[in-house]
Amino acid sequence: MFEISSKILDYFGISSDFSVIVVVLVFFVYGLFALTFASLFAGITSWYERRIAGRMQSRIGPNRVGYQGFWQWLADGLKCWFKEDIIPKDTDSVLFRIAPYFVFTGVLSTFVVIPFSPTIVGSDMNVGLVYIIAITALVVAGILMAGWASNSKWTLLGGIRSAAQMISYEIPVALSLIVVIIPAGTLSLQKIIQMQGGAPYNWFIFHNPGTFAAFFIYFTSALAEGNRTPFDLPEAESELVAGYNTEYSGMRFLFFLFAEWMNLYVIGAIATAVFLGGWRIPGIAYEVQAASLWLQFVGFIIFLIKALLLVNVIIWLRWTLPRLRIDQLMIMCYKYLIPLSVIMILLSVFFTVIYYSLPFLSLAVRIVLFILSLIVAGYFGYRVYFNIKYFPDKTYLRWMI
Amino acid sequence: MTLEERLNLVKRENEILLNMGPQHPSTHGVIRFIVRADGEIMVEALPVVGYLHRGIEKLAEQTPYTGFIPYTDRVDYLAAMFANHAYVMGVEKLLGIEVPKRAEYLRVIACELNRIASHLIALGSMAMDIGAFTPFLHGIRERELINDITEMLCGARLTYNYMRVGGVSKDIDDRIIKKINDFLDRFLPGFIDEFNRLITNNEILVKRCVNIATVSADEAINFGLVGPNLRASGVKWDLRKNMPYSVYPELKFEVPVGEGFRGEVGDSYDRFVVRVKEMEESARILKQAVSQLPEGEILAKVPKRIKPPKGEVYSAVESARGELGYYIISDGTENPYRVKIRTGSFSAMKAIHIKSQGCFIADLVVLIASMDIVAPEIDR
Amino acid sequence: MSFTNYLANIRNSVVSIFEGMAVTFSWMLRRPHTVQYPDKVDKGHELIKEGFRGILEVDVSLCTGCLACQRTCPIGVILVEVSKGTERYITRFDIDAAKCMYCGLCTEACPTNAIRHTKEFAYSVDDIRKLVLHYIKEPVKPYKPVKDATPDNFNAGRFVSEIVKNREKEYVEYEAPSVKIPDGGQTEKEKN
Repeated sequence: MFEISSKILDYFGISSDFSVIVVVLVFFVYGLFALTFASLFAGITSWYERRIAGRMQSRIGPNRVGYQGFWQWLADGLKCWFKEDIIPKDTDSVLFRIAPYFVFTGVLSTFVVIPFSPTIVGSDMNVGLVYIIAITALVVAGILMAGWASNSKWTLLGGIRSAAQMISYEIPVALSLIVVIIPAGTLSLQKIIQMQGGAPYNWFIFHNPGTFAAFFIYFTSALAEGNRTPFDLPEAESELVAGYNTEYSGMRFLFFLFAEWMNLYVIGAIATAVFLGGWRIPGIAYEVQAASLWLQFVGFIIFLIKALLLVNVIIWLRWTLPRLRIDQLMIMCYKYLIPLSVIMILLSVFFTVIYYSLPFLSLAVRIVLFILSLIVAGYFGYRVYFNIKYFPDKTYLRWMI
Repeated sequence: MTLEERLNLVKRENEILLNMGPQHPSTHGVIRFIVRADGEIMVEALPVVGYLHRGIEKLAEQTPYTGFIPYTDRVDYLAAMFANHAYVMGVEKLLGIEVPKRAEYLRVIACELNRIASHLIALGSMAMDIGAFTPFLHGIRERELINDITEMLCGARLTYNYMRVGGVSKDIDDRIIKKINDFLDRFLPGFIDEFNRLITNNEILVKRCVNIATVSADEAINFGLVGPNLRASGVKWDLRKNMPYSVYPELKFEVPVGEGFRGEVGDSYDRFVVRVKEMEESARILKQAVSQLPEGEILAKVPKRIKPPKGEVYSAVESARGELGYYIISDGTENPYRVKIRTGSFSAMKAIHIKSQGCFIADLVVLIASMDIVAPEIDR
Repeated sequence: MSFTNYLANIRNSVVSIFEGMAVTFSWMLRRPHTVQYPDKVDKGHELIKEGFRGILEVDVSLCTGCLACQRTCPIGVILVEVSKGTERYITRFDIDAAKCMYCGLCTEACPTNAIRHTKEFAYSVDDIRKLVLHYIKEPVKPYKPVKDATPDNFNAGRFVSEIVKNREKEYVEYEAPSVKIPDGGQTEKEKN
């Protein structure tokens, strides 16, 4: 945003006395944009997730409000807004009131460094990734606060589970990001995207076997950090009623859900930026894209599509998998994900060093990994085809049976 | 002894006293557990039963023999057909009535359909308690097809009231037989395999269930566990084989027992898998029963007013939740003198109390679900 | 835990999650089984099956006044009154639809199929007293069964139970019609 503000200052010829005001104004507008984007995303995802869940469970899902029930999220929001804001007796009322905002702010703050296109980004910090890992700690604080302040045993258990889980899973998140930082040599998200190419085999996920595995490690641990199934223990509805938000109602309850769904985009966007080439368009150099407004817009769409694909996968996982137990969650973190990501760091170092002396190997490894993932995707398609054929039921694809 | 002590509500050091239920998402009805937990690890979970006690056994003493059949539906609403069957068999024994062959076959068809429906709910809700929502709705979808069949067969979807003293209330026709065959065609290879791929073989479910609340064969017998819970512990005891009734001797089927599929014999995962296998066997029984269905009457000659001679009788069937027994005492009048119902869920509650000691709170949910308890069956 | 065990755990998790996701994705490509109930019902989809045990109705012209239904009902939701005298009249036939549990025992006891189940199942009313169905408006002479009658003979003339029609109307207090018996006697009701 600093670049855009300086451009505006130059364009209008505003003297440096007022430049602070303009910069603040630009940042304010961008903040509103990010907030609107995140809120719209959270709302629409809440509807979309229910529709997807319905299809997977061979039912219809919400379809009453508007076309295909699209405005359901707005109706739900209004309903929660008009509900009575109940603050139970004997709660720590100050903490109880502010806890949802901590969670909300913690997730929304990541939008400062998440880029939309080469120039549209809150702030291209040179420590962007560290900032993301640090700021999400606010979410832990908020959830623990909510669990403690509600003064109920179920919420307390949920809050404690959440604290243990999120603090543990920050380690594999950070370690798996380091795997990419080694070849990239920078912590800035924009620079990481710049270093990747537009074509899939130029992305960092296919850079070497280490980054390939690191993508999955990051994805898994980000799910756990965002309290999504199969790691949704803090709000495990069959065990802890509703976990840390049992006592909440109305708009405060909605803020937790807002944060959860916004977090989907955050997970998808970080994975896209770090592993999947971000807003790069195949065959177009970075300088060309940064100069043209249209190409920036195309980049924005590409970024969004990649992030939304990952969001789809997260939703899809949620409606497929059961939930882990708390000790298994910890075992998975400390016995599997952390050692594996350390190994991946070593692999990444090894390959990065080798690529300096043998540049042709770089392309070979990339293409091999890319073809490998295509084969896996093809096999997956075959399994889906097999499932439809094996259990004939009413289907949209009649020719398959 | 204070009231708190008697109700086991005294808080000890380093313990949380959690009140789980009567309204809780995973207690499967109105059951309450007093959970003493040390953090996530439970010291014990003491079941408190009686919230759904409706005095059905006492009601039997005021109701004529035929009039009590609808009440038996309400004992176990997920497997009402078996309750009908057990009670009606008892009254027939008292009266000494020979039931027509066709009626017996129809009873077996109805019961096995009901067993599949009941197990689908049990497996689905267990998966849901572990956190997977989709298998539950896939199970419900198949159960809905069974409900359609039972609706055509007897006019109701849940409280069937299908069986009568001396036979069944309605005959089957070709449309229903075609529906049953259609259902079996999609169920046996297709649905079961897909269900296994979706949830039974899922590593997270396996890890959640394996070696959780292992009940050894001796323990299972001592607890008085019955049905799939007993068989999961490796005891091959099925009333359909061991104390044959109805036309089960004429049908070929296996009795699946727990073999420690992924862990110890008798853990929660064995109870899950045994139910899946039992559904397969039920489908096989159905296939045979539908093809062997004889012609004939569906109702024996029964006096309009049923007045059994003095005496007492115990009749039991292998219900979806194990041995379901009706002990009926007749004093020669139109109403029974006493009816006692022996259900599987009640004895499972004791097993839950003992086996919950030392496991996680999340495991208690698995344990309750794997025992497949139904609240009205506990309390009657 | 051995190292092979460690690797097997990872393999099993990946393979089983992969298979599970293939199953759920395959369901994304299939039609839903549910129907949007009041708005859209699939063609050829029989919503209520034949023989469904819905709300009870009585064809009083077929009623023999034998009280078999009243006796079989386990919870006593049926009240039939028949006047005594040389000429018998059915003066009351009430069913409490709110208490009825749709077990179907009364319909089996009925020798002429006068009482039977409809396929109606939605009958919410604003006043619970409306759920007590009164089938006798005028005193009715009991039906004399013909010889060789089978229950199938009586299936004609099914009508939708009046509760569904009466849902919008005001509640009117019901009084069973009294019968003046020709020999100057009293109805059973007045005797009591």
